[in-house]
Amino acid sequence: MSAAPLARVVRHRRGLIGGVAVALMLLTGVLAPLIAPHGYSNQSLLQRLQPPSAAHWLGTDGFGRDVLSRVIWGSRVSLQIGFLATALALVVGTALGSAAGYFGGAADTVIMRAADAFMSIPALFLILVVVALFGASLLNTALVISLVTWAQVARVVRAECLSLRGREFVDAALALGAGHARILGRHLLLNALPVIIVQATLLLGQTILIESALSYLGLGAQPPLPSWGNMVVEGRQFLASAWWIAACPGLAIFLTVLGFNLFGDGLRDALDPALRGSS
Amino acid sequence: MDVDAGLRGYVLRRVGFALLMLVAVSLILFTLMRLAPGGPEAVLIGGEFSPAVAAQIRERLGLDRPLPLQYLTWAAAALRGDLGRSFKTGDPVAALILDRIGPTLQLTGGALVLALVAAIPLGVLAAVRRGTVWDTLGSAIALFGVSFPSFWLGIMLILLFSEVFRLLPPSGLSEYGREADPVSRLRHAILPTLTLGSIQMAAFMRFTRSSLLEALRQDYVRTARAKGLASGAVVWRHALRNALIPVVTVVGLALPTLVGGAVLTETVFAWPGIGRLAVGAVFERDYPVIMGVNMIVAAVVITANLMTDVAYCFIDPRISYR
Amino acid sequence: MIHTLVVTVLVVLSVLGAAAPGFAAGRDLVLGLSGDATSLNPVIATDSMSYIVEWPLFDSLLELDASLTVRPLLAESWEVSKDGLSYTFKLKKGVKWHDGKPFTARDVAFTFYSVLDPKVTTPHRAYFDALVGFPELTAKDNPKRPEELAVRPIEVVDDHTVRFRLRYPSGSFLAVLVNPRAGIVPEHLLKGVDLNTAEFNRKPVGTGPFKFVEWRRGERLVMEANEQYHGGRPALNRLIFRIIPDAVVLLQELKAGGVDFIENPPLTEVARLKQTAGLKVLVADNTSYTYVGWRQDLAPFNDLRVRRALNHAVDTPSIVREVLQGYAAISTGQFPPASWAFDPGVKPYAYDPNRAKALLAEAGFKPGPDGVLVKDGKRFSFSIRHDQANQSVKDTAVIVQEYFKRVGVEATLESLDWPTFVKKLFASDFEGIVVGWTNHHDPDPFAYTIWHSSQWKGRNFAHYKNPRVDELLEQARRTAVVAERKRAYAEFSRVLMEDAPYVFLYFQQQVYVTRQGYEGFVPIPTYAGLYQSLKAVRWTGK
Repeated sequence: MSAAPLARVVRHRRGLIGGVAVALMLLTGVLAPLIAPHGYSNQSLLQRLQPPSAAHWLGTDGFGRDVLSRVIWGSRVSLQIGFLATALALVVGTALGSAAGYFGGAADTVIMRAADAFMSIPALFLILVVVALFGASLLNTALVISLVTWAQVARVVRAECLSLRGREFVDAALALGAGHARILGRHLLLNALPVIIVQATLLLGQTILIESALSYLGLGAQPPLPSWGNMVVEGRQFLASAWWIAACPGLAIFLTVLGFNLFGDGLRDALDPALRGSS
Repeated sequence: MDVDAGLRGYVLRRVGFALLMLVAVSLILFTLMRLAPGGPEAVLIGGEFSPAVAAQIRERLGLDRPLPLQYLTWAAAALRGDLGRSFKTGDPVAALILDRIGPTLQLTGGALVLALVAAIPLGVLAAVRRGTVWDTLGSAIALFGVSFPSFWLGIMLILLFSEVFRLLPPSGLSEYGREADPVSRLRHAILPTLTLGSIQMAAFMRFTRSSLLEALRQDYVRTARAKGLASGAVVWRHALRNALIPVVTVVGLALPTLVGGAVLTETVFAWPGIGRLAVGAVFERDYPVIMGVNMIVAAVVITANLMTDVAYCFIDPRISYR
Repeated sequence: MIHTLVVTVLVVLSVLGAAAPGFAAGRDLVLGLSGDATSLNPVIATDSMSYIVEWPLFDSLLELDASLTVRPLLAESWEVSKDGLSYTFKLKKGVKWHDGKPFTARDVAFTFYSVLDPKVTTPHRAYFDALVGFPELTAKDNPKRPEELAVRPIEVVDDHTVRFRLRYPSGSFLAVLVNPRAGIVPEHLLKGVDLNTAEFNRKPVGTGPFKFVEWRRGERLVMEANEQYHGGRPALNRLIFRIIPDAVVLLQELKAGGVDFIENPPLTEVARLKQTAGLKVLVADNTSYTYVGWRQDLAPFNDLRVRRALNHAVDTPSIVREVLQGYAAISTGQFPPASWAFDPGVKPYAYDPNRAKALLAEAGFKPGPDGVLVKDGKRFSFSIRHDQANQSVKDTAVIVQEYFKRVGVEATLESLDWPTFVKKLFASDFEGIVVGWTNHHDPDPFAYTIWHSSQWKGRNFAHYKNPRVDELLEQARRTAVVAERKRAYAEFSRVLMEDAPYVFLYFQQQVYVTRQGYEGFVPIPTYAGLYQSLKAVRWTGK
């Protein structure tokens, strides 16, 4: 990608804010061991449920652990799962969806039937069963989330390719002797990129939300490892008396997902071919 | 016209595949379910668990027979319309589903309507008045909505409206003894529908906006404008129809939630819907209920996908089916 | 004009109608349950929710008082033969089933023969081990029918007299004839019917203080006062059990007025609830205890020093104080402090991390590079499995993990859903576990099945074996003399504590919150014991 779109993102205010937020979250995740004031599992039963103070900026939780440190460490887990699952879903979904939309025929049928199958089985059920079978590790969680989200990417990409396929520039390219791969890669996918990017950012947010939902139902990252999801669940019983335990990770989820969405918006606007000038 | 014959063939082929799909899904579900360790006896016996009694229960429920035989027995009965009886309660699965699907449809249907009614106008407004205050406001609302964890939103709403302000009830379908009371039903439905609908609305709105923006930039729109067509006509007749493709996709994607149940919302609000039924059944290894609910959901989704695909044909005349 | 009048009247009526439930609010009791019952037949239903709702519907022969002594209920009086092998009960006269038919001794005989019948799936069978003919009646292959026995264990002497014959004197026999595990069911409705699948299980008929009205699965269970109850009509009109699986939502419903009574609220809220006007908090001791266990036959747990070290590593009083807000008693073994079998002379291991480290060093462990102890090249690391749905067990596991870490022992938590967990437990497929025993108010039923070495395929899935313990448990089981049983159990508790097979943690109390104005609850110190007093609860309107 050339530098020009990036420059455009910087000019686009919303995208900039989102980008900064995303970068901050990523940095937090990467530098967690260095910036967290305490460990994520240091308990101190005498200091349970303390409100935010100078010693503990976001207070302590039910076991006396520092909430701020756990939110920082939690970003690692949530982001790891989020990125991995999104990447998997995107790669598989885009590849299969564009193939289906472009080539049509048998490829279309087989791929779309597979996507239908995955979307027909209620996602939560699939996740629950897989987690019960194989255990709730980070990798499993990411895998199973991508299993239930790739199909929606495929469907959307396919729809885009279907409508793009009928356009003049495709016929023109074919007439000029361009191969299928080139048309797919250069023309279709690039034109479908805005849609894919919107999908990606939605997905990133979605996977973080799905992970927290899993934790809500009792699965997902295992204690004492903090993920924002299981922190909200742990904090729920204290909502009336120690609201910060659930509110802070909930806020973290919200801000992160917001950041991704803002950034995605900015990126999409920057990559819009109309803004790129004549092609 | 040639399109009709092609369309007919396409639909027929799809229907055939749909049926095959149902069989495949049932096999996948069945296998996955049985692979998970433990069985219904754990929940049925509870704290007095003893392996001898557990074995007795498994025998009585037919769980000691070979797996293929169990599957065929279930499938044969299902084809006759008999989805079996719940291991836990002994009630017919079909009756259980019918009982619980009403509340779920009420919740998800209401949320979907709320979402669409709010999203499409907002999305159109934001796209058409791009860059203005409307766009920023609408986009901000949508952005926020999409970023909330649904269960968190639900919890916060309950905290606010039920505990702090004491305006609305925190859970359930209605007060006890007032099932037929529409006012009670409405009051209880507000928070859950709002929770579920807000998030869907946000997603729809963003999609409407982005795809409408796409459509508005197309050549044919510029052509139409150049030809002097009024702006409104351009938007409605040309751009919106094309913009609706992804929106129809997204609505289609929302359909599994429609029937499969918004599990999290149902859990937070103790809503007696089908999503909670299915999840509970997984934790209790209530195999007939798991199979029954998931097969019904699968059937609905497969049908819905078929219908949205057919809908594409009418919305976008350029999509052809070779 | 008439139009307007009619409309006005209708509007007023509908408003009043809408308000009507408020009028009866004081005389119904709406209870919040965190789960649904599986069935309403006391012979086969054994999960905790079924126990709760069966109590008001069915009577047992005897009931408990606040000190866990038995007293008459359906049985007016009883005589025990000198050799302790024969119990003759005289039943109350004039007791009627909810459908109006008379209650007789035949119903008692039918109930317990059903429990013994191998075709009926019920774990309650084991409680009646002392009955004559037990092995023959419950044999897996070719079980005998009661008519085929020379001496029958249950004999209907006349309409109101029933006799039980035992094959050894049992001190726990009377204690076993108490709800929730021993409700009497009607012969005239269940004879010849398959109890496992009977329609009766959904529409029960008992002799209890409340009659069944309706059961909407997963939603609510409704019962109304039994006007003909032999103990006098209960003061409440209806009991409405609402099923709300989420503890937080349950509490909200209580505050919002949707339910009048809940059990086990989040303990951190209890202090605030005590101060809330209009609500009051009731506390009952319990026989259930939570523990950290492990496979006794697995290294390194087969080393006594290691087990004792792990005991010293956990600061149980701190857990009880800080996490359970004091609503628990420290456990020193199998028996709660309220039990007559409890020996105050048995002391728990003191919290002493230094001693723990010393013992582990003695056992051959040395600190490894990452702080985790190592012996013979193997790190002291093991998995602790627990039920993911039980909040206090989960919290306990996290805390215990931290205490172990501080002495160099690494425990990884594995949170499993209940069916998976139970399967692995009884297959002895685990290293460490955190779990609880529901227990019984009589010491024998659980003590024997958990600690006797013959029970490795049952509750003794931890594979504990101690010949002296086996002897003591058998002694205590086969006598009805309380002093002898007490002696045996006292020594049993001492030996158990010395062996340190578990880290015995705590007996958590049952906490209930109800609306001010409901009086008459009696907190009987056994599981769900409070529900026995529902028939005496009344609304005073204050």
